[in-house]
Amino acid sequence: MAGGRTGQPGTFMRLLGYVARQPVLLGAAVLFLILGTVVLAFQPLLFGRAVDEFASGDAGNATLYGVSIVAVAVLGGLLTYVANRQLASLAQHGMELMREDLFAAMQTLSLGFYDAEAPGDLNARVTSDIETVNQFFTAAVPRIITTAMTVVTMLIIMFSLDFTMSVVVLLIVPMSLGLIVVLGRRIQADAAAYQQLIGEVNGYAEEVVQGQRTVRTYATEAETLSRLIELSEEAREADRSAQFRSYLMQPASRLVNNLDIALVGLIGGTRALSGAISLGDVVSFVGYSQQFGGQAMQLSQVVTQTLSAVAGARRVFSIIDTEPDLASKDGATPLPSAEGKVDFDHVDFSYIESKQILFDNDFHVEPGQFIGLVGPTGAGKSTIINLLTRFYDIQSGTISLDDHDITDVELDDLRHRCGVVLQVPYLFSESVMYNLKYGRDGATDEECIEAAKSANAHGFISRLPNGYDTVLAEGAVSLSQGQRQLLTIARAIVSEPDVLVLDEATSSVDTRTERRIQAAIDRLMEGRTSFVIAHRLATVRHADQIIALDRGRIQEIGSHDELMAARGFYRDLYMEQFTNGDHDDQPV
Amino acid sequence: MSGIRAFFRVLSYAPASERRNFMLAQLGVIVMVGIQLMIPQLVQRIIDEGILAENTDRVVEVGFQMILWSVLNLIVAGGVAYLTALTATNLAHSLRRLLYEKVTTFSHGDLDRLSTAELLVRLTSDVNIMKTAFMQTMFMLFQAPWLLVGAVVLVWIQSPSLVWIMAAVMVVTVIVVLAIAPGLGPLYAKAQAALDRLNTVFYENIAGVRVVKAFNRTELEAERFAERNQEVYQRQLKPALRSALFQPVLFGLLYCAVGVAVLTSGTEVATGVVNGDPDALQPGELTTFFNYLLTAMIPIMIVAFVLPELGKFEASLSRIVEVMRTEPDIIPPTDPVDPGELTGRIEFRSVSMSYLDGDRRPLQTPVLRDVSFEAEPGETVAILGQTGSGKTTLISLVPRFYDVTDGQVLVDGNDVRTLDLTALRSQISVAEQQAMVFRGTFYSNIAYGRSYGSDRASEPRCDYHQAEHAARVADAHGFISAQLDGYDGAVTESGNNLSGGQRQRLSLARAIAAKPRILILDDTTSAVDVATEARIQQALDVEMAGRTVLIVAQRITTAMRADKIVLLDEGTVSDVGSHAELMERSELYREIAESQLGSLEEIADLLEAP
Repeated sequence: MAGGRTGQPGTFMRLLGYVARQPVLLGAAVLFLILGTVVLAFQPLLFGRAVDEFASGDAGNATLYGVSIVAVAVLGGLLTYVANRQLASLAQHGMELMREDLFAAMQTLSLGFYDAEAPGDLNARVTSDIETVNQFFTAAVPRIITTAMTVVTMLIIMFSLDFTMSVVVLLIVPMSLGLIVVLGRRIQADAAAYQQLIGEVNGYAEEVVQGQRTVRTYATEAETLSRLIELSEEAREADRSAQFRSYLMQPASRLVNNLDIALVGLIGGTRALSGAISLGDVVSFVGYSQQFGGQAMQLSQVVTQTLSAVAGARRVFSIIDTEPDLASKDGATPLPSAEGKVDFDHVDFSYIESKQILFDNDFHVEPGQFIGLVGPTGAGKSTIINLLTRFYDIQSGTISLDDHDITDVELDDLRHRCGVVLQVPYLFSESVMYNLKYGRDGATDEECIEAAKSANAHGFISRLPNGYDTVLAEGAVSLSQGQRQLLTIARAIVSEPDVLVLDEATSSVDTRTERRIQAAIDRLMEGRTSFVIAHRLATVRHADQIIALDRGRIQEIGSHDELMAARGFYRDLYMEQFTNGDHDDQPV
Repeated sequence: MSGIRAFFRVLSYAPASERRNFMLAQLGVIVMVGIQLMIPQLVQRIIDEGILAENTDRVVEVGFQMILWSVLNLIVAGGVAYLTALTATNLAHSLRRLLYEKVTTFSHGDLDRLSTAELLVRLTSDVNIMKTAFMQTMFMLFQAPWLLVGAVVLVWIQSPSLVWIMAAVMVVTVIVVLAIAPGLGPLYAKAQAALDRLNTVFYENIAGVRVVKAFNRTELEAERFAERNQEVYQRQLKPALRSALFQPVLFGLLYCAVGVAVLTSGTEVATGVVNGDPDALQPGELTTFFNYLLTAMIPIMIVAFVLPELGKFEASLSRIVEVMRTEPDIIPPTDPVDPGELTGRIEFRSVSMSYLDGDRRPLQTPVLRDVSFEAEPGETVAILGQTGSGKTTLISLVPRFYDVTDGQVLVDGNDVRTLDLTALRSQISVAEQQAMVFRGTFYSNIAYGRSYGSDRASEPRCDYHQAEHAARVADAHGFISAQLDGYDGAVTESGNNLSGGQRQRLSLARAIAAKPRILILDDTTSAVDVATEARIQQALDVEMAGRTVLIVAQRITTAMRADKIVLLDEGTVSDVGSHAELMERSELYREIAESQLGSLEEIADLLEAP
C-alpha cells in the first residue's frame, strides 16, 4: 500500500505526536510525573537512613524520619495522580484525533481504493488496529513515562550514593534484556502464529454462520463442524505454547531480580566491610534493586504492547497517507445548477490497466432527455454511470456536463447535480428520516415525507413501529429488498438532482410495485436528464435515446422504434425475451 | 464474587482430566506462594545475618539459597503455567465446538430471529474473553488469598508490634479498591458500547461508500462520526481517570505504613541494638516488614485487576449459555421415514404459514393462506407474484426450512415433518437470489453440495468434469474459464471478488452439481440479463429432464416457459395454470404480462414477423 514507508522509529514518534498536540498540558503532566517520582524515590533513601541510625542505637530522629516518609508518600501520591489523570486525558484525546484523521482520510479516497480492499479486511483493520493503538495510549504511554522517570530519578540518587553499587544494581538491565530477547521473541512469534490461525478460525466461523442457510440447504452441518474443529485445534496448539511462555515471563523475571538482589547483598556487604559505604546504604541498594526488578518486569510488558501498537499504527498511517487519486482541481469551476447536457467524447476506460472496459464511447445527450442503457451483463452499462458521477477517472476522451469537462468541475457540485439509485439498495442503520434526508443537505421533514409518498414508500413506513423515526438496525426492523429499494428511490427524489441515474433500480421490485414507482419516476424525470439501466426492456422503450452496449462498445443509438426498424443488435436483444434464446451461438 | 461462582460452574462441566489439572495447578500455586513469601525472609537474613553481622560468607550462602528457591519457583510456575494454558485453550476450543454445533441445529426461523453478528461475537470475542479471564483466575487470582494470609501471619510471628499497622493499611487498601474497582466494569461496558456505535459508522462508510459519494454527504458523515468519536472519548476517559487513582493511592498507602512503622518502632529498635536484646525488633525486621507490606499489596492489586475480568467472564458466559439454551424450532422427527430416492412429487395441501415472533408465537398476519397445488415429477412450476406475496416462504417449506402453521407439505406423498431431514434436504437444491458463496476455489464452491452429505458418502465426489458441466448449464463457464487459474481460481470471503450476477450463477452451478431430485430457484437469475437467462433456462430444461423444478420469478418471460404457473396474490393462490390458460382467464396475470412485455397485440405482431 502507498505511503507506508515510514520506519519503526518514525511511526513511533508520529504516534507520540498525537499525545503531544497540546504541548503545554503534556509538559505539565510530565513535570508532575517527574516531581512525583523524584519525591517517591526519596522513600528508600529515608528508610535506609532511618534503619541505619536505628542500627547504630540512635532513635533520636525517628519522628522526623517517620513524618518525612509519610509526607513524601502523600505528596508523591498526589503528584503522580494529577499526572496520571492528565496523561489519560491526553491519551484519549490523541486517540480521538487519530480516529478523526483516519476517517477523514478514508472519506477522500476514491472507489478505486475500496475496490482493492475486501470490506471485511478493511473493517477488521480499522477496528483492531485502532484498538491496539488505544491500548498503547491508555496503558503503555503513562507506563513508559513513569518507568523512565522512576529509573532516571533512582539512577541519580543511586549514583550519588555509590558508583560501584549502582553498576551492580544495573546488572539487572542486561539480564532482563536477555530474557526479553530469548523468551519475549518466542512469545511474539507464537502470538503472531496464533493470531494468524485464530484469524482463520474466526474467518471461517463468520462465513459458515452467515452462510448457515446454505449449510442447511446442502445438509453440510457435520462437514462444516469438523472443518471448524480442525482449524480450532490448530489454533489451540499455537495458543497453548504462546500462553505457556508468556506466563513464564513473570517467574523468570523474578529469578533475574533475586539474582540481582543476592549480588547487591554480596558485593555491598563486602564493600561495607571495607568501609567504602555504610551498612544503611547497602540496605538502600537492596531496596533499589527490588524496585528496579519491578520496573524491568513492567517494561517487558510495555515492549510487546508498543511493538504491536507500532505495527497497527503503521497500517493506520498507510491509509491516512494514501493520496486521494480523485480530487477537485485547484480553481475548479463551481456548478451550482445544471441544464443537464451530457457529452461522452470518445471515452476509453479501464478499472485496472490490463483490462479495458469501455472502448471509444461517444454519445451526446440534450438537457431533459431520457436515456436508456441496455445490453447484456458485463456490457459496461454501470461503468458509464460510475464515470458520469466521476467515481473513477477515464484514460482518454472527455466527459462533459453542460459543456464543462467534469474533471474541471468542483467534485462536490458535480455529484450534487447527479441523483443516483444504485443496484444494491444501501441504507444506514439510522432512522428512516435520516436516510431520506441523506439525499440533500437541508431537506425538511415535509419534503422527505412528500418524497416517500411519491415513491410509494409512505404506506409501509407508516406501518413501521415508530414510523419515520424507526431505526433501521440489523435484527431490529427487517425491510424487504423491495422496500429498501423504495426508500432509496425516495432518497433520490429528495436529492432533487439535475441528472437522474437509475441503475437497475427496480430489479427486485415486482411488476405492480414497479409500475407504481414508475409513475413517480416519470414525474421525477420530467425536465431532468435521466439515465436508466433496466433489464426489462419495456422500462426504457419510451426513452428518447436507447444506447445499446455490448462488451464495452456502443452498438446502436436511437429510439425504440428506430432501433427495432434497424433490425440490429437491439432488436435481437428485444426478441430474445420471447424466443427462448433460440439463436444462441454459445455451446451449452 | 458471582464471577468466581461462574468460574467454578464452568469448571464443573469440564471433563475429569481438566478438573484434575486444575487441582494440580492449585497445589503448584500454593508452592509458588510459599516461595514468594520466603524470599523476603531470605533478603532479611542477608541484611541481618550477613551485611549487618559483617559476614560475607553468610551473604553468599543465603544469596545462593535465594537463587535456588527462585529456580524452583520458575519450575513450579512453569508447570502451573502449562496446566493453565492447557485447561484454558481446551476450554476455548470446546466452547467454539459446542457453539457452532448448536448453530447447526438452528432452523431458518431461529436464524431470522438471532442476529448473525451476535452469534459471531459469541463464537469469537466471548470465547476469547472467557479464555483470558479463565487463565488469569487460575494462575493469578488464586494466589491472592494465600499471599495475603501468609504475609499477615509471617509479620505476626516475626514482628507482632508491627502487625496492627499492617492490618490497618490492609483494611484501608481493601476499602479503597472496593471503592474504585467495582465501578470500573460498567464504565468499561459503556465505553465499549460507544465504541461499537462508532465502528458502525466506519463499517457503513466502507460498505456504503458508493452512496456516501453519490450523494456527496461526506460532511454529514463527518459530523455523525465526530459526534460519536467525541462520545467514545468521553466514555473511555471516565474509566481511565478512575483507574489513574489505583497506583498512586496504593503506593501512597504503602509508604505511609512504612513511615508509621519507622515513627513508632524507632525507639524499640535502637534500644534493642544498644542493649543487644535479641527479642526486640531488629533493624532487618523493619526492612522485612516493608517487603511483606509489598507482598501483601500484590494480591490486592491482583484482585483489583482480575475481578473486572471475571465480571466480563460471567457476562460472556451468560451470553453463550443463552445461545446454548435456545431450542431450535424445527425438531427432527423422532422416528424419521427414509424416503429413499425421491421421485420429486410435491403437494401443498391447504398450507397456511405465519412466521414466529421473538417468543415463538405465530405472528398475527399469515404469509401464506390456504395454499394448495401440486407439482408432478419432471414438471417445472413457476411461482409468480408481487413483492411480499409469499413466494420465498412457499418454496422454503419444501426442504422444511420452516414448518407450516396449518395444512401439509408433502413430498412423494409423505409429510415433510415425518421425513429424515438430511435425506430430504440432500436431494433438494436451493439456489437463492442473495447467493452465499464460500471462500475457496470455483471448483470447491460448485462441488460443495456433492463432496459432502453424510448419506451420500459412497457416491463419488463431483469431479472437475462434472463441475464444468454444471457451470456450463448455469452459464458460469465463461467467466470462470476467463480466470487465470480457471476452476482453481480463488473465490474470496463471501465471494467479494465476484459480481452479483456471477455469484448467482456460481450458486446455480452448485445447485445443479448436487444432482438434486428437486431443484428450487429463488429468483436466481435476477442479476443476469434476459438473453443469458434464456440460455440458462434452456440448458436447465435438458439438465433437469425428469426432475421437479420450482422457480420463483419476477420476470414473466421466465414464468412463460414453465409447465405450470402458481400465481400468488397476498399469500393466497390466485390461479394455477399454464401461460396460455392464465393469459386467457387471469386479470392479474395479463396485467403483469403487459407491464413487462408491452401491449399484447404488439407482442403477437412481433412473434409473427420473420
